[in-house]
Amino acid sequence: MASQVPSQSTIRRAEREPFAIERISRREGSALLDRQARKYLGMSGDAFRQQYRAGTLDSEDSRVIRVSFLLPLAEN
Amino acid sequence: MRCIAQGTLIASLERNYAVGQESSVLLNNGDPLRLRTTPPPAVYLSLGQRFEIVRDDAITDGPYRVHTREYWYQFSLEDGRELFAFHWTPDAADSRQRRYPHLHVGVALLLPETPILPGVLHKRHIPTGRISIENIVRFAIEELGAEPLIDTWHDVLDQGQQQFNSYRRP
Repeated sequence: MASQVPSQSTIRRAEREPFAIERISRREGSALLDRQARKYLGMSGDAFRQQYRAGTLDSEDSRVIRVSFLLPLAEN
Repeated sequence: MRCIAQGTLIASLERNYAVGQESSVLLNNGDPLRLRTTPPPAVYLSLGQRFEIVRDDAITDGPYRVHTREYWYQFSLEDGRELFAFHWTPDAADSRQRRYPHLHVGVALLLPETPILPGVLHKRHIPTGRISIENIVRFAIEELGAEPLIDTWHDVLDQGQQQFNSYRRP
């Protein structure tokens, strides 16, 4: 198990490096949507997109909410 | 976020953040990010925001600002059970959703047979004010025992909260 207390090197690194923002392409966004929809909901990214837009998924389900934030990264 | 964790926020490369275009940012590819909490167990944070750029001639250093369309901040355990989830969907079309900012108390914190609403209490919406990411990070440090990674975390959060309060609209 990892240490519960941040090491001094971790603290120094965090002070030096801001939290990274990674900008991904639409293609990468689509691949990520597909991967996470399969992981959390057992469906493809396309199936998730269709069912989410049709309102047939439970929009209060945290797994659905989690994956839904990937939609703008995968669409035009 | 750098006050409590190292990781990434992902955002679109191709969106140019034009006025009215919806965008989102998501922590750690959408996977829960482990915080260093004392004492154990480890607590995980998930975070997403949907937003758009809007024109606002009322702000002094504008005329553009970020308008939040949805936020979702979830604390959970390693096995995925939810502790707390702060959610706001002001434009939700789905009648099952609440348009006011709210909190869900997760199943991990509830007795199997709660005195009221057994089995469904975790689905109920507890009204809150608008919650900033700074609020969430402060809650993680001060209440959940997350170890701050930088000494200046208090100043960083105060500055961020000040900006949030300045640009927030009803």
